[in-house]
Amino acid sequence: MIKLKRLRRDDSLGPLESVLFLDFIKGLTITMKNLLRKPITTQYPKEKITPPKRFRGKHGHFVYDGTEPPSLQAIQGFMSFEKGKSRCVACYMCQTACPMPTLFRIEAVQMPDGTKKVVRFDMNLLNCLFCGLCVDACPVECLTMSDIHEMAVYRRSQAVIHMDDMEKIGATNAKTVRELPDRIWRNDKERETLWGKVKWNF
Amino acid sequence: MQASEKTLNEIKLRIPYVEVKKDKLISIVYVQKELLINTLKTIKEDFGFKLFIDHSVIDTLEAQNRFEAFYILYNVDTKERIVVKTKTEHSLPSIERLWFAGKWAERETYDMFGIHYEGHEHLVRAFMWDTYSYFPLRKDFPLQGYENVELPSLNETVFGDNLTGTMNYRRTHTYVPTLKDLEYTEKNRIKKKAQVVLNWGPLHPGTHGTMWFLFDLEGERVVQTDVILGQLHRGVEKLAEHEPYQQFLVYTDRMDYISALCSNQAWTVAVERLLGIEDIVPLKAKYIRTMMSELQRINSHLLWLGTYALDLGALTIFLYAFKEREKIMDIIEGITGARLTISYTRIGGVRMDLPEGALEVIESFIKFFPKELKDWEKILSRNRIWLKRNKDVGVLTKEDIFFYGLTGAVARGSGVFYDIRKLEPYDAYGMVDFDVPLGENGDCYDRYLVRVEEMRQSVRIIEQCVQKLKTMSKNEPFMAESQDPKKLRLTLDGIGLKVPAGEVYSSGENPRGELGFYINSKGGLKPYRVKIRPGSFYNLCVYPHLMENRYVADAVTILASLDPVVGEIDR
Ligand code: SF4
Ligand code: SF4
Repeated sequence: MIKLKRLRRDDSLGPLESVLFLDFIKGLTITMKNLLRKPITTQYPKEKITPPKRFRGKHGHFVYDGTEPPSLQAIQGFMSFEKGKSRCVACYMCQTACPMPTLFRIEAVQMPDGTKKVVRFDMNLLNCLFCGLCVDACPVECLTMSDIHEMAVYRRSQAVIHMDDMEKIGATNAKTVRELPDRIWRNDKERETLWGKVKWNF
Repeated sequence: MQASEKTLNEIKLRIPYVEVKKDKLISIVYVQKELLINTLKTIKEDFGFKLFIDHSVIDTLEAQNRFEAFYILYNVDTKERIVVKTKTEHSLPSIERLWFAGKWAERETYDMFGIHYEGHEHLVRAFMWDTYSYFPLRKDFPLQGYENVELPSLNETVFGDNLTGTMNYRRTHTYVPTLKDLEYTEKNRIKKKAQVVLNWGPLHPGTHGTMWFLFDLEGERVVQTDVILGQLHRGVEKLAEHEPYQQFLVYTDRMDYISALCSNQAWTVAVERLLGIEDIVPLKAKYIRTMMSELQRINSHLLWLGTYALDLGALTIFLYAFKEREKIMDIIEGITGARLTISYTRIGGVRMDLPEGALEVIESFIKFFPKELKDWEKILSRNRIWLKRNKDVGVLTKEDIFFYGLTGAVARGSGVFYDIRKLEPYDAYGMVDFDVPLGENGDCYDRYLVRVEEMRQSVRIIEQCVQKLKTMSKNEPFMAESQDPKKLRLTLDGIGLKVPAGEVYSSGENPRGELGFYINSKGGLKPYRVKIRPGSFYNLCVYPHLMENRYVADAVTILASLDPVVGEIDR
């Protein structure tokens, strides 16, 4: 059943209304009401709101620290990992999934003992669309996106991030964000300025 | 719906020289180029396919009759859509007498493919400047263009940085228009008839983007208007031919950047239809998508209301609307991880399930929102300034709607029932209950009323979706599983997503009108041709007509009431 709704047009002012300026007075009551409200502005950059857990910001690499998913445990024998260093296996899945594959530069070498070591992982974030397709594609849960969003730099070359930067971001991310419950916001208090009290069901 | 077998047979009976073809996704009428105009005329006038949807060509690269042109038409009474196709070497007859919107579509096709239109009144480029010498959407034009202008970066010349490797940086660029080119373009677009030509834009807050308007003025009265577009042209259609299906989703964010989720959804649904998996998308994903895109619709209408009121001098509404908009941003950010370029849907479902607390937050939003809306209406709807500036300004009749190919709130403001959510329900729209508001007079005031009412209807839809989602457990799937057991998931994020050969035209109801995707696939990883039907582009094409004999002060009102977004117009 298709339901149409003809709109009622109420578009001419009566004589009393136009002489007494009732239309303005009505409007001003709303303005008055809002005048008494508390301000909701966040004074950026003095105050900052914590981005939510799912935020898609600067990229990071989770490190090899004993929290590997089963998919990685199966192949870690073939990799030359170090504790506290990236757990990337150079499978190029992220690059394949990326709409802009040329922004990646991934290189791996074969070690003398036959294992594989990733020696280079550069990303040019100037070309990145921050879509998260690469993160979804990573089979060993190595690539991640952090909540860093203030990324302005002075030179093009500074916008390229390397593996060591990404390891640092990943390590911080693992400590602060990864283990959080999958909730819509991380810090409800900050959002209350705008939202007032939200009724949570738990 | 696609035109039925019956309609096609009637057309065949009436016009014996056409060929008709119908499959599950599309109904096509083939005709020779010489008989095109007659056929279109008969289909329009005798069969009621009055609404112009889209026109473009496909570069088939065949030796003979290289270009295949298609015209998509809609019959509002019987709710049928039809595609008329013809082949040509390099020229087509112009349809500007049948549909004005066709004139703009032809300009675009001329711009992108170099098709010459016989009988077109003023065939100039739509997006590129007039001295540009290539036709970028032809298949033999390379994706990165012809890079023949040296343009080193300041990083290189001043700082001496060595920009190699991932910098993905080239010293040579494609040609960029110079001032001289732009001047020539401007002169070429409008032949001055009256006293003075006033430039409005391309960078002006009132144009809501980078549009460049030319008004030919007699005193303050506008005699003729033209628009120079293309400042934001990025060749999204060309990119689509070089991106896998899933990856192209990211670019739909950047078309109509104010309602990215709706564009995401329209694209995903189009590909799902082409794949034939629309039915196996889980219910949960459908409800999530519907709910999210309705939130986005409110978000987009709020931006519209805020800036529209701001343009007409009601500054407070802008602040109030942005307060509510910020809440929606908070919701979207928490659920999808981004505020503007969202990329949340996936072919076959959504990227992630809803996080904990999402439904509560949404409920808390829709609880207070209608009250706010009422407040704003109290300020605006009967305010004398508001009435003076909106009433009987920019009146569009029903015939105009069809002639100019207008859709969305603009069409509904004039009382034409055209809402894709009802006519061709996608996702969960068939399962929720909502009304379609229709205006009477078709002026700016009606369009304002329609959009405000639409927000209210969106709240209703969201309410129903939240109720439904509450009953679904956390473990229910949000991504379609492939029927082929060998493949683990339907797609691993689109890597190697193979789409069968075929074509589809599928559209979604964007806040700014119908956003349609015509996808032509020859099988394989990437589409052969994607034509995007941007609602804003066709809605804008009525602007010169509406501005005729109006005063400069109305320029802002009329433009804002059409609510164009340049990212979508230019693509
Ligand atoms: S976020 Fe998107 S664009 Fe950026 S690297 Fe990942 S896949 Fe590529
Ligand atoms: S997908 Fe993951 S493991 Fe594979 S190359 Fe990318 S970051 Fe490394």
